Amino acid sequence: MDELAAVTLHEPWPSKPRQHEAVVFALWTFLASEVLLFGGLFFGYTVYRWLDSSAFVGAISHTNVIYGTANTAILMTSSLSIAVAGRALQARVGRIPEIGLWITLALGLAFLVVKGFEYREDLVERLWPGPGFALVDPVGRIALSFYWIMTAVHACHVTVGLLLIGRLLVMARRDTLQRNGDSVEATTLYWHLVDVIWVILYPLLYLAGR
Amino acid sequence: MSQDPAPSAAIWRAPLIAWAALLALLATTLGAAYLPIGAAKLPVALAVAGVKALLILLMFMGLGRSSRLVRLTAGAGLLWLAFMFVLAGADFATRR
Repeated sequence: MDELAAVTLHEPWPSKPRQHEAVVFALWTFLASEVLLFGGLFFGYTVYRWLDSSAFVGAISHTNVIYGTANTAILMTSSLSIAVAGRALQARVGRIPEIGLWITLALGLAFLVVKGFEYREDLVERLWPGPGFALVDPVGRIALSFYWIMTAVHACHVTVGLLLIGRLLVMARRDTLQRNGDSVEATTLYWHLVDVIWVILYPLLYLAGR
Repeated sequence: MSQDPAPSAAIWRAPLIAWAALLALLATTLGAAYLPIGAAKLPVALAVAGVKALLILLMFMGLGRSSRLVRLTAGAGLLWLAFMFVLAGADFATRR
């Protein structure tokens, strides 16, 4: 079965395979740039952890491993649901693509809700590196700054991903999902990268110093 | 308006196996974090994270099935990340 048969051909591409290749290539170029964006944060983390390992790790260990682990499981499951949705769309199996996207949206929102509870607890424990910061060691401020910035930037990416998924759900409601298969694939790739980034963030922010 | 029903297993199987593997790896890395293995904790955690990332890249993002151009692009991202770590890292490593 030709997966591209139902996809609409847009300007300026001369053929559907070419359009598909262009979309996927462009997406991966963007994803590579995202890797570098987060890579900068990862590199900063690496340097500061390397400079004063015990103090840095000691400070980072104040994160809540339960929230972090739950969010990892939630995000990985959302990758499952969006992957199944994409495959079902290519196989043209009825309502599964839309249902898969709804599940992904719900799990993504759950991720943000858990993060909200987590941030609230962090603020109650005075882990915000401002006045009244709970930890004495100045390295603690740096360590937790990385925690806040990395998780916040990631959460922004999750939010953008949810907006993209919302756009796909609007298409699904209008029954234009099939002809926008390339859009679905693009959103799916973006969402998986958000998961990959979190998967690497998780041990750095939640499993240190246990 | 459902078209010819493709066998559901074909849609589900591979992603489900990948997901199960990811959850198993999550349990592994969480458990390993609490084991008394000292300095091995960070390498183990990063190794498991690397395997999980690879799983997602290959099984969910289909990098193994992608065109050479796409794989080159993904590789380029990693390559430039390596440049940053090596070059900027060399700066910090040779200080003091």
